[in-house]
Amino acid sequence: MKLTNKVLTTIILVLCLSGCSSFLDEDIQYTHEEEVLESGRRSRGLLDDIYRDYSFRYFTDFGIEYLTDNGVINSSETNLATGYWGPTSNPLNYVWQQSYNNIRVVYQYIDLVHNTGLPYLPSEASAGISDAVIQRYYGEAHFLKAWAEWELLKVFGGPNESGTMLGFPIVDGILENDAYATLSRNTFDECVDQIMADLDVAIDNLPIDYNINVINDNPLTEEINESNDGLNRSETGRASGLAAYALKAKVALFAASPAFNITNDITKWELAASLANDVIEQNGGLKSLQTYDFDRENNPDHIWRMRNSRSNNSLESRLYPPTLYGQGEVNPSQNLVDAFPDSRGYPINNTSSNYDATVPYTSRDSRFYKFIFYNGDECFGSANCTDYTSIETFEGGADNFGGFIPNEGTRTGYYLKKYLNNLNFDPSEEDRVTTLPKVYVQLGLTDIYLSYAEALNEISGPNTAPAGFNFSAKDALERVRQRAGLFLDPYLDEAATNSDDFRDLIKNERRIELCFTGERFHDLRRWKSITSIEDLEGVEITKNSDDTFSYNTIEVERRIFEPKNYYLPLPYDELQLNKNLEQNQGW
Amino acid sequence: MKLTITEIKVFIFCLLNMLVINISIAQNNTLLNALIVQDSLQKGNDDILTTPFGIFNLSKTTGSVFRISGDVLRQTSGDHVYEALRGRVPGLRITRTSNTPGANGYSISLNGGSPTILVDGYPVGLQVDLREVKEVIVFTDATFNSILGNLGDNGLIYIVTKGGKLGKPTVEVNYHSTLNSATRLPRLLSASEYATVINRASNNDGFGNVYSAEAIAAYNNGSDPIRFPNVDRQETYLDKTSQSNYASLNVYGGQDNVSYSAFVAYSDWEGLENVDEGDIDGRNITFRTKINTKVSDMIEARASIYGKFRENKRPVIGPGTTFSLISNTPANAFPLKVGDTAYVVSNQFRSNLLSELEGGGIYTEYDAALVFNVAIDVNLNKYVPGLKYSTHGMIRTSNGKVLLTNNRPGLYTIENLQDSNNQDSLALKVQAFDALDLTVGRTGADADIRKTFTYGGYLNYSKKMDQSTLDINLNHFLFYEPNINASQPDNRNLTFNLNASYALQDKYMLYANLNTSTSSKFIGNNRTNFFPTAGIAWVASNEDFLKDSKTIDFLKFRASYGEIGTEYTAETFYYLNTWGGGINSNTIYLGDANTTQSEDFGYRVGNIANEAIDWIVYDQFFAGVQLSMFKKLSLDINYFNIDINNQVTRASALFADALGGDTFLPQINFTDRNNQGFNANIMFNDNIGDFKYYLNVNAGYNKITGETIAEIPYPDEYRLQQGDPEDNFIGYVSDGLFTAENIGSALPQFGDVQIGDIKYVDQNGDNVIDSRDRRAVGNTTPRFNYGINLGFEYKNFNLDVVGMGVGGYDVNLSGRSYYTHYGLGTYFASVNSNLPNGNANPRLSTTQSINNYVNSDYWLVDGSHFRISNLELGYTLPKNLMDKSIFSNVKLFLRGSNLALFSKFDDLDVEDLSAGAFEYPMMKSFVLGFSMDF
Repeated sequence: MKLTNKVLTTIILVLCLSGCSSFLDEDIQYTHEEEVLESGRRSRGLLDDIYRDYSFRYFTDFGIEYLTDNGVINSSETNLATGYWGPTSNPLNYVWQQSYNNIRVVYQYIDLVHNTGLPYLPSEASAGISDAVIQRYYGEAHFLKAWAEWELLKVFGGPNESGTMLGFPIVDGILENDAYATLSRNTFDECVDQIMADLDVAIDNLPIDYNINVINDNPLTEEINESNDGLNRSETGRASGLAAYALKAKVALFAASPAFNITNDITKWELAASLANDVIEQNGGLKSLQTYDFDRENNPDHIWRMRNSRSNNSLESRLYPPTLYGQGEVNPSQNLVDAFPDSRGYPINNTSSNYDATVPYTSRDSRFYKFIFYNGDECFGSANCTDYTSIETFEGGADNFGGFIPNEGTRTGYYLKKYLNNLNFDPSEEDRVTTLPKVYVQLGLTDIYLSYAEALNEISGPNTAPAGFNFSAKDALERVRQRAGLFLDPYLDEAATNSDDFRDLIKNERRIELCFTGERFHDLRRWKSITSIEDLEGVEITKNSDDTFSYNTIEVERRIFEPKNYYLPLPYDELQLNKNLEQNQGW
Repeated sequence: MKLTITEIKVFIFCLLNMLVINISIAQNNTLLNALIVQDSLQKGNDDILTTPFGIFNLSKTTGSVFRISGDVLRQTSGDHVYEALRGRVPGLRITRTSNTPGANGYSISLNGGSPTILVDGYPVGLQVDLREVKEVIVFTDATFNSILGNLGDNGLIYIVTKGGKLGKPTVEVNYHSTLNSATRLPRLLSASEYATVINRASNNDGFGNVYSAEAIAAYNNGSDPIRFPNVDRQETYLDKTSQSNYASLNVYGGQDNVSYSAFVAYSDWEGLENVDEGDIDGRNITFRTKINTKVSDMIEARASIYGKFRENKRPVIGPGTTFSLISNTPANAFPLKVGDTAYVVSNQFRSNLLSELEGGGIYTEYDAALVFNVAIDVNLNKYVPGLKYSTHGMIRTSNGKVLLTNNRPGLYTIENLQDSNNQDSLALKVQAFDALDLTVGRTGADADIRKTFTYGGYLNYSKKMDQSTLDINLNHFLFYEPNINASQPDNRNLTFNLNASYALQDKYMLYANLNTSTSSKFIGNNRTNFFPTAGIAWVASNEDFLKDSKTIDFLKFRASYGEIGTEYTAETFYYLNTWGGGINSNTIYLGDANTTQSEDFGYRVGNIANEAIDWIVYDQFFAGVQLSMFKKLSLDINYFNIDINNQVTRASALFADALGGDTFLPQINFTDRNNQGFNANIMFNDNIGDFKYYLNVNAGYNKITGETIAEIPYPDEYRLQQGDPEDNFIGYVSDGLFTAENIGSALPQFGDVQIGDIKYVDQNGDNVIDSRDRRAVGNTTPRFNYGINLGFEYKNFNLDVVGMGVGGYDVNLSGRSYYTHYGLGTYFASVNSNLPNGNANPRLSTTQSINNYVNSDYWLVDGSHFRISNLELGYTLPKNLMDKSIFSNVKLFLRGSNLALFSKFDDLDVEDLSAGAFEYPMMKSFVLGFSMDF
């Protein structure tokens, strides 16, 4: 008995002591560094991850749009646009950390994956594909870095106290953690050069596009798609050579703009024009633009676009008017509505216009009907259809506060229709379409045509195509207006008689075409016109006893900006940590 | 009454079975002939506590020990130990976090930290029933905190369960029945009141009336309940009271070589919902069986099994949703039903609670928790007098399964249509088709079973000398908790302790412990660390000069100092580079083919390794005095000063954001904090003839300050938090509301401000209100808590009252929808009165004001409150009556809990401001019951 006990005790003790060390070292269910960095495919996931930051940015873009005269959110006041904007508040502050994070990841990829020569696919047989994919990722790395730098430049670029135009601190590698608090800003021009240089590397390494234009019944289609060479259609959504060209044009236009080109250096406009021209030439000339379809996943006008999950309907469910079972979140302003020309292309205040203020929604530019839900609207698309019961934004109407959904209404009399698919949320119908695909476009051809027109107008006016250019500014703008159905366009001819009118027309076209992309806020800044925008207005519609309507313009929110708003403040907290950082003028 | 006849039968059957089994085991073992060592026994003046970590003499300890008997705790109704401890222990603050019947939630804090619960010495969580508790011992100071190492950083609550008593079997029967009702429910608006408020908000923004005067009149007179409904939701859905029942049986005893105990208890509960199908209805059965047998002169074996089985039936929508729907659906939203079958909703309020309760389906949870213990004690007296060895193991498992049928009756909206005669008529339009779930769903896989394993043992040596005693323990303890989530590592800890206590002439006491803690969360030399502790005590009343004092009966001074190491709480191993993403990262879709990305898509750094990551060290200093005077008054005070050093953080505030995401910064031992405070207990008892009475007051105070913290070096000094309390509430300082007089001089702040918006103070005088003007304006955790216990005994009657309170903290209302009013959605009656702090409601608007809802002192309310948490009026049958019966003790009692609450809040319970509004209300209970011992 005693012996047994002793033996038992000893065994237990020994078991414990020997088991202890391995007990504490048990395998842990993490993804280890080696599992990522030593796998040819997973290691490339580092770059794939960056795309997350740039896809489906609709609601972020809307947030930026609320700072302009284009619209408001229906549930909350806008604070920064109404009079005070302090150095500690910048809704785009996140760009600072996000961009530097992505630049760091790019260098992480180049140092830890690309430079080690790790093949994408391990087998000898697939070396060809492997090399092509590695080259593509190298190009993507530089494009994504340039995109991060472009966002930094766009948001934080500006003059210091003494007027020197600065960009952002260029980081060309991975530094010690403490070193990031000693960075100082490079000049604006150095930053532009850096972005251009990165994009040149991207262009050298990327396929110009991923659209292998094969006819569907071509027996080779399957084979090409199955080839999995990493360069085919299944990769659209990744950066392409054309996207790199387009970004160069965008950066150059920004740099040539009045707020950043203080001396109005004409060579900057020339560069912007010629880079936009490059995009057009690379794309095969000044093609006609495709119709607006945000559920179309293979639209060739989308130079860089990412698509969302095909079952996502968050835009529709948040933006539809109440009677379509939405929350009516985005309310475009009367100011924007007034910017749409009449059906023949004349501005509504032009003497030749056929606009009638008593029936303001008849005979308008086709884009108005595509982009805006208005009182009496009953249509997605064409002008004489009945897709849904007439929208009622008049006082006491079903789509106003106290109506169909009492707490949902519009502050301006309008709802945003742009981007939305024709879905049916009516719960009483059983077989209804409640989801359709949705793409998000970061770089589009429309933007390039408008940039081309804007830059070329500054060099040679509306009608002339200088040496090296095949199309005039007017030619480019014509393509944009033609898509809106303006094939006979007397007003375009009228405005093209002088650069100033033409510039105004381009600005207005930009406002309409790129509304609710977040672009207008930055356009207003670079044009130095943010200080002169009007207060944001809406319309109060009264239904008369004879079923006609009366329209009364109302002020919805003030819009007050100061000259310092041409530029945005650097993050306040970052300035406290890094005394080498200079703040932009006026902040 | 909740007990059906079948349930009672099953219950009695279970009880009998258990008794039979236990008694048969006991009888089998009577053949052996030896004595059983008790769990805790008196040896002369010594009070010995046998734990899985060693044997401790509590009478000669240098530590702070607060003890409270199970009988006192059982003056509370129900079966929850935390409920019973409320207001009873100095420095122990117990806050209710959930009041759902059958799922009581509490948060618990001892001297500002979170204590460890030990049941008979095992860290199994609160796997114990109030009715089996023999005693609760609260150890607060460094002497004991060191023994569990990592697990005991903030004090121990050591619960001793009944059993292990020798002698003839004791049988205890306890039954009580409880009627519960809500202490407070939010004030809701009637249909016309609601419509009036909506019109006010809408008119403020220039949108005109949403509801016409005729509609408001119709709501008031109830002439058309279909078109103009006025539904009192609280009355519609809630009963005034709900019932719960508690019954238990405890049998324990022992003879010669075997002792046993069997405990079994039953509890049931129901909800307040007055719809039968949708009422919460649950019960649980708890049991614990212990058996100790003496195998030989040297060896004694102990085993115990604890189990708790719970069944709870509720509607598929959880109780939180039930109460949110009651509170958030306006009275005029819709009539509940049209005809017998059509449930109605509106386009704005799309859920009908009645349809959910009546036809939404049933959700039944089954939970089981089991704890198995075995131990072998080896008495080595024969070889070395006073030497003992004990080894033990424990397995704890818990899991849950859910059966559910999720149904939804069809829902309709009421539409106004014009019929063929152009007359208005009402029509029902489908809002949601009915969905019937014909299958019974089942959740909870076998892999979800949670398990904890411990294995440990100790070697104890006790020696009693003429003038002194010496106790030495050497113990090891292994703790292993596999994680059920594949992405998280397991908890693995190993602790060794060597401690010795020495007492000389019952006057001078010394104690020292050397703890070695090992944790898998560290690597290299940091994995194992040494943490020493020492204690000293002096019993002055045993000195000659006080020995014969008439005033001072007992006086003891004690102090302890120790280092206690704990791990970081995160599940990630900070010494490893870890990566995340990849699998199921379906957030981006490339291509125009309908392919999702492979699992190789999208990887990013999750954590940068820091191999130097080290233990968080608590430097604990405790000093205390224990004093008894006049045989009536006793006093126990503890002061503590705890430095919490090397807390783990990324310190990202010290690094530029230009380095990228915080994940590029390793976790480092950086933050230092200090926790200072005291706890105290004063007891006075006396009698006037047969009238015995007592008054007991306990209190605890503490403040945790950040000594070294990572923060941005702001130039405005008032923004810096180093050296300030860690629970500071940072916000703007308000200066009333804007009026017509001062709106003109409004500084730029958040958007366009109007009359009735909150005005803020420009702290730095730069003529703008921005984040630089924020500073500490309050604090969010109570600085002090206290309890008052008083009562008397007269003849056979007793009355005992427990009150408890907390103070010194602020409650922020700005995020609480009951107190913030905007939009055209839900409103509460609080919109028509001032905030609990007396401030007026800011401007009412249909849009959310950014200015008014930023954090500021405008929304802070003093959270101090005091409640009478428990009261018992009891009658014990006279002794002479008992002597003739089989009973040894019979007591009848009436109890009440949560009888009164005093605070600045009139509508809601400040202890849990969601209670009643968005989750189950706090309950007031009235109890009738008896206990019998025989």
